[in-house]
Amino acid sequence: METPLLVFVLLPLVLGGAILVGLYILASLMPGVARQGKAAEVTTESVPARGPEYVQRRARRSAAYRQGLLVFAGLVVLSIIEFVLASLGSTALMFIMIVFKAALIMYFFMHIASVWRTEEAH
Amino acid sequence: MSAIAESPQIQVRRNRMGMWLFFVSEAFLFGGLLISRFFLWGNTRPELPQVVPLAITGTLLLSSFFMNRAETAIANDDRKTFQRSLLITALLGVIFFLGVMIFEWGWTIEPDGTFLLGNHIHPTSGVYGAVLYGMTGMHALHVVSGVVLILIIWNLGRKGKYSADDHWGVEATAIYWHYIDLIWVFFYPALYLIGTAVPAGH
Amino acid sequence: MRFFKTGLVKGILVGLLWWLIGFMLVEAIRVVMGLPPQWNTSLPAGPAVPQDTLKWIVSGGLAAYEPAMVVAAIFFVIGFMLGAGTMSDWLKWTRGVDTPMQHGPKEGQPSWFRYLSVDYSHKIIGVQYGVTAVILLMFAGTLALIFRVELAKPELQLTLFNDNLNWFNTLVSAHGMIMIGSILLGVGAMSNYLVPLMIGANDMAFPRLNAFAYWINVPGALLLVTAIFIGGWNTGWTGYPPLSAQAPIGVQYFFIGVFFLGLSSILGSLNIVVTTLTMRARGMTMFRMPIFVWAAFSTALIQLTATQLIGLSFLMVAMQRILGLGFFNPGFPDITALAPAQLWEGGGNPILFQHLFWFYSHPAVYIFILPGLGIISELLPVFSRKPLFGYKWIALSSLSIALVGFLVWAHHMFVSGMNTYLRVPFMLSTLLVAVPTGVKFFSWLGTLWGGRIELKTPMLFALGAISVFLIGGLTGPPLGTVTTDLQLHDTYYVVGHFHATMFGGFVFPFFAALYYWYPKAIGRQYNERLGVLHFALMTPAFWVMSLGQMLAGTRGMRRRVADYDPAWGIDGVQLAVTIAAFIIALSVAIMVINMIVSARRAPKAAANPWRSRGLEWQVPSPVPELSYATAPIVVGEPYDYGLAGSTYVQFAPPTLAPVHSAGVTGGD
Repeated sequence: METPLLVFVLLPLVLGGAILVGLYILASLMPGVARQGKAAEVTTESVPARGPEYVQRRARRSAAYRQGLLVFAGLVVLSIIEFVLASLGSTALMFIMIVFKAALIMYFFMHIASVWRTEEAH
Repeated sequence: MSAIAESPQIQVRRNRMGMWLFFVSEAFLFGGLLISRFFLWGNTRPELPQVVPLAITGTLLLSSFFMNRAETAIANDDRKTFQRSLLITALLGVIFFLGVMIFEWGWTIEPDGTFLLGNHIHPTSGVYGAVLYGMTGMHALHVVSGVVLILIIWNLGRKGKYSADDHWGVEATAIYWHYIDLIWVFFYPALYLIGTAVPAGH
Repeated sequence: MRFFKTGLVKGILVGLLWWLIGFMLVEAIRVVMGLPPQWNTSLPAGPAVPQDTLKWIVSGGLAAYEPAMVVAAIFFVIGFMLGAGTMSDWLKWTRGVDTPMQHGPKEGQPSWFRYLSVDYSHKIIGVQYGVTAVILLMFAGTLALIFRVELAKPELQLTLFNDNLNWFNTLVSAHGMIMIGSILLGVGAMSNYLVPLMIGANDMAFPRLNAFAYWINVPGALLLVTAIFIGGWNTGWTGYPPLSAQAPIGVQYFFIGVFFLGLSSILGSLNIVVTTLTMRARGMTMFRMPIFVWAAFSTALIQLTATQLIGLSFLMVAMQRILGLGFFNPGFPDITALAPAQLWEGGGNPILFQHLFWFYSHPAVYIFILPGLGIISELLPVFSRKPLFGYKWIALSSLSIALVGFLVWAHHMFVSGMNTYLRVPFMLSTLLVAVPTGVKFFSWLGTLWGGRIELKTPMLFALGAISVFLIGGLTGPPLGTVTTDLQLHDTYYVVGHFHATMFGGFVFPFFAALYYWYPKAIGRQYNERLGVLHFALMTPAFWVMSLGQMLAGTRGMRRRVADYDPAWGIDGVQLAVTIAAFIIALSVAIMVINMIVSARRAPKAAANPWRSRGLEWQVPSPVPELSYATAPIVVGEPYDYGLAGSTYVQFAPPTLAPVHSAGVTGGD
């Protein structure tokens, strides 16, 4: 069995896919394709940068960012515990850590609850 | 025939359900790989350096954080953070992929221009090589597709496609990327932590 | 010349181009890396005389270029999908171009053009599925006729097999797998055409995905057929390693073809589940759905999850063949060639393949039969003019067959050498399947009991299905019981058993469905007399075939063997089975002719020729482009035939666009 064959099959597929995507992105950057506007023209704020609504939005936004950061910190801590537990040889406890990690990712990052939510889109 | 078109809310709900059913389906693929690992390796694993897997696991976790940040940003109309976080996510994804390829699979280019594969473990090294390369390879394939999707939505976001009310594309990519991370949460301990390490050439 | 602009032809042409590109890419990389273009240097790189090229290919000579062939096949599928235009909307989305949903025939093209091109209407896609299924059915049936001729007498008769017995195994394997592909497509035809119509939706939840899921079958089926002609494969449809790890190159095309058929199953079933859960008409609760929708829903749940495992198991063998990943290789021969640091012993296990494979392939049996059983339950009340007996039980029995089906896979492996303590639990779970299946049988009997039965062709086929499925069902327990299975494993008894379940669970109900919904889909009534003739030829012939196979099996005839001992005294039985097979083929030909001719010549069909209560029969035949211009509201039970004053469905007056009818719970 020739081992470098991994190169022959996987590399072409991966590289070919990457090249295709690259071409696609390049093609879409070219003039002539319909463009709704450049990045610079896009307004970063849809709400005027003043007033109570703006303050409220800012607060909501930073709360959302903070939640992401907290979940990430939790995942890091759990991963470290998982690694330490594995070095100690405690597979069962390690598995519990894995389940916790999976639950955190599914609940906070993947919004699994939204599958059952019916009233609104996001 | 426009009567078939539903309101975007209803369609997004269907899309979301379809996406999760796809995840359920994929879970059986990855579950099959995990079962193969336990069937073939039992309570052993090949003895491999621990640093690289740990590092790439951290990379993927970090990329998941930035993906979540990007989704939160577009849901709150913060385009600058959205675009930046997406690029960081894609970059971390590429680092993860190259980490698997170069360090874990050990692809090196020799001075004479030929490729060399497997400085730790060879794909043909019995079941250890087979399962390790099979599982990391299947996961890496998903990582590549995820990076492609992220680059697509980055490009669309650059054109001003998404808004706080209408960003299903971003949400789909985000949960797909988190799903890839979720798979790795199970794959990493199965490949590198569980079981007695069997040294090479025993 | 319009024909060359259809998606089918464009797909094949672009696919062939991509095939060449894929082949060249791998070979170019090999050459650049300083490797010989040939992968397996022990095989001849080409025929000695150029005139022998075809012979060289057919005898599997391309195995010398196996990695290039595999990559080329994957490229072929991608090229086909791009060329056929199934992905053009999605590719536009990646560039930020929105594409509104287009329904209806294309501008300036005749109506047949839609059937050969990508179209998003579920009614078109359902017909595409059905026609492809029948074509594959006839192709695979023809393969069976060839080897049945060989089996009609002891010793070898056909020169084809005298030259190379590999051909016999190839034909048997191809018959099995292409039939399975045909059945999957037939199931797709029924669920795609009927589910949205039956639940009062105008289309599936994801029409583009639906079209994609159909079209990926076409290159998949083409690869399966190609596999026969590039060396074939001698493993049977199961493809067990280690044999499949050494089989001719055709096995790779078989793997890839099945892989994409499986992808179609997964995407199609995902669509069915979402459609069923979110798009039901107002007032249609889960327990007011037509019983076929329950069956299709349960089927979709199995297809969605289990199919990944057959893809994975075939992928693993393909990887073992071309990359040397030794999943199923107990000892690795090249071990001395590796550096000391890479020395890990072999340790692969072929039984792992059987576990993964049967984890799909046993539930797959329920994928094949559940929609068919749903069709039987759907037709009996209509033609008996009586309510369906035990609606809820039968709905839940479909779901429970689907769930129990996941727990029985190892009964195929009693003699495989797996741990013996697994045998009894799997025997018990296998026999458990008889319970929900029995529920269905009693419900059918209860429905027929005292009904005013009209023996129209669909009803005849439904009754034939019950009789044949009963044969298949009753011969199952001896195979599920360990003690008897040890004797009967891999004999013609198994062949007879599963042909009876496949015919009773799929083929007969599928034909019944074809006849029953033909007026609704085509708008014309088929020829009733030819339909009855089809039934009268096929049913007795099938009884002879199936029972004859079982008889031969109990005398010692083994599966996938071209010859047998005259001393067993089964010559007469084998001849009868062969004759019966030809009669079945003839009857199917009668059906195809009937359908083709009736589509042009037959009288126009009424909107509701069967006096059915189903939603789809309340709209004109053929179903208009927009099936339900006014939204249907479900107000009663679906199968209350013969009960005075009961209504199942009302149509909202068009003025009340958003329906606010009181007392009706939203089915959304």
